[in-house]
Amino acid sequence: MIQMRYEDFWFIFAFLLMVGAYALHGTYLGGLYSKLHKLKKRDFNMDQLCQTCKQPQGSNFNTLAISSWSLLFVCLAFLFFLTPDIYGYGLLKIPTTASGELSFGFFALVVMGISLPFYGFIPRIYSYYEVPAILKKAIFYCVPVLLFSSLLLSTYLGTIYPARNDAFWNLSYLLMILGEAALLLPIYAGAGGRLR
Amino acid sequence: MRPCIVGIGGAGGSLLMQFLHNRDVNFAFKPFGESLAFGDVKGVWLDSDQDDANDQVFFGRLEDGKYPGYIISHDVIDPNSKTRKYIMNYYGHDLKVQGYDRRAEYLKAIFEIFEKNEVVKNLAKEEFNGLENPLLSYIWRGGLRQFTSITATNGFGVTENSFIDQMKNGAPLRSLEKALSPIIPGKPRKSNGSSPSKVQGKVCDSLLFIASLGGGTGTGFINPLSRYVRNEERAFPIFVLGAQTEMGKDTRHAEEGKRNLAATIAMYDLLTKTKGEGIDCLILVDNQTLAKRCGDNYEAMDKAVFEAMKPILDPKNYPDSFNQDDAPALRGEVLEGVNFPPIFVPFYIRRISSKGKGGEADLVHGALKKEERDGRILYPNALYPCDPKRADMALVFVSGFVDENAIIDSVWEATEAKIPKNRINVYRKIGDARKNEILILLRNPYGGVPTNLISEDEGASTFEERMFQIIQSALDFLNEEKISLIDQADYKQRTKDALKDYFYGNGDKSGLREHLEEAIERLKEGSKPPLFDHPLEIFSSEGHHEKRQDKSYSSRSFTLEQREEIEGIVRELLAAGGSKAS
Repeated sequence: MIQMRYEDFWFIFAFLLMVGAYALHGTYLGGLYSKLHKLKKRDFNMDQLCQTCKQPQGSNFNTLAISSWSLLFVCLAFLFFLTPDIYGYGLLKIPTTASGELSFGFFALVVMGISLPFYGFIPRIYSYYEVPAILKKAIFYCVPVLLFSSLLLSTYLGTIYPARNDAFWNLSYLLMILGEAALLLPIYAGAGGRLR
Repeated sequence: MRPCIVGIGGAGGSLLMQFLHNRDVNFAFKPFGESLAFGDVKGVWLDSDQDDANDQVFFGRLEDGKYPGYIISHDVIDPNSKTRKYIMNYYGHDLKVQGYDRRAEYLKAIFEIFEKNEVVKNLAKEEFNGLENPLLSYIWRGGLRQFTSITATNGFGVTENSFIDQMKNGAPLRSLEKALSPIIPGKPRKSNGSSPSKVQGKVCDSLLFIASLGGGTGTGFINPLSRYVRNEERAFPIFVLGAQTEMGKDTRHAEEGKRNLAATIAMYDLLTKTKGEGIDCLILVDNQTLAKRCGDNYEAMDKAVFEAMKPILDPKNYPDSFNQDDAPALRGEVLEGVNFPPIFVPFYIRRISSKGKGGEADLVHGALKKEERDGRILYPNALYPCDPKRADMALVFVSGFVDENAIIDSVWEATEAKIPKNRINVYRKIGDARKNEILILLRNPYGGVPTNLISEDEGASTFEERMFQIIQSALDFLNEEKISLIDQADYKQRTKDALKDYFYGNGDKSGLREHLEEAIERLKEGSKPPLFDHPLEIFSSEGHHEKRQDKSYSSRSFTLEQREEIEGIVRELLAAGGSKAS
């Protein structure tokens, strides 16, 4: 039996949280289509449904959301792939990059670049949901703080490598997962509420 | 529908704030970025009191490119304006009067002067670069029009041949040229923070004026402005949401009778335009009703009105009815079968979403719920007293998973089959997960039943009773305050004479007083709409109006159909003339 390591479990958990939200979003649109189809006066397709469902969330919110998601991916990468402690490979395994003064920043930029295609979907996905004002404010004010704090802790762990500090790692993960949960809450609450 | 909402006066401004509440996030201490309102509506606050404008921070000066913005109506008039001086000397009216002067007839008179007096028109044309009515031109062309679909631009500025270019080409105005420069095409508009930003979203397909009926600026402006816009734009939808002021003295100690007279004059002028000449409908809410519900908390009252109106503005239509409620379509519906602007009374309720069948009936019957109190039937979810069974049409805006036929059947049942099913129009919205809401707008819910109107201090249960309270109060004021209405210190004799004729008639019994008495008789008899039958003017150049025989037509203007026919003939002639020339 393959024993799952402690870190593997949390990595998969973070990943599944995202995948689950995406799956729920798809199910939500499908469910909405199905319910409205039963009540239709004339035919319509999914594109028409998507067009009518979308409502803008505001440029400030969208900008903040995209920035926060980008920060989230960087946090994930820093937590699991900065040091080779967890998977045996990471930025600090590569001597040329590990010794560079701006290596951490470079790593963050690479992560952002890789996740770039994803950012275009973020405003679109959020536009399908009624995001309450209080949740918008929570995302606006709290999520960047949570994710930056996680990032700082991960950076610290990178600087003390090969020494470890499990407490800091756990705390960094907790802050990251709270930020991720807040970013996904509009989808879980909105889609979940509609599909009840 | 996506209206440009124009809040006029203090009450209009307060209500407008609810509609324009920014749904985007922002820093509390320093807002920045774009403004996003529910339903992507746009809005402008129109007032005549600079002090009121300075006492708030929500609206910035539209002239400075701020959004949401306000316009002070008479800013375009220089204190040393020749036009202003002439009007003051000839009539005794001041173009720069503050709105708190609760004389609705004052503003009515000013706008009639611009329409009828050739000397004034010529002075204005000379001074304001060809514009005969600078006040209204400034408000409409320089302020409101840019937010609407009428303006064919990149969405922020105005066309090349526009009012702005006219003004920029040598108009000798104090600050307008400089002030309007941010509004030229392509330049972004500042938010009310420090960073420049644009007004986001699409252009508006209609105008929704919000004003109090019985206040100052709103009551006085609503009719001239809507009439001016209608003269400029024949087919552009124009709706009005009027908030009837409550009983008793207001915060400025204006008597109820005076305010009710102002309200009556405003409603009279709005509702005596034939189809296509003025507004397309008047939605009435009653502050007296709202005050009982919200405990005299004006902010709560404003919020209640906004919540009730949200279903109309909700852009999330069912996908099979994408443009069902765009403004031109709605305009066609509200004017169906009438020759005059109708009155609509809103009924609204919000419920937690329910699963399973029967939800439609719950919603409808909840909104139209009646209660018996002290032997009277009351409808607690109505925003204006009325009996739903007397309406001739219902527009139902409902959100949630609802069946259209079930809604129609429920409304038909709840109104005891008085509204034909083919006059019940349902507009379904997707809404959100947590709640269902329904707004039922009932058209002309009065008449058909003779009624014994009783003047009570409060507690009107029907539209007729409430209107009777207002009109009777206005009549009492007219009868008691004859001197103060006419004999104002600033009025010239010609103005006093014109006002006397306007209010009291002159032998031919065609003054406002007489027409209001007739309106009360019609209410008692249970006559069907219209409530008021004959437009009145203060400075009538022809003397007094005889009561017109045909209520469908104004004695001095064409109907919409006739105008369209004439325009068609002119176009053909021009086309024929053009092809001959070539």
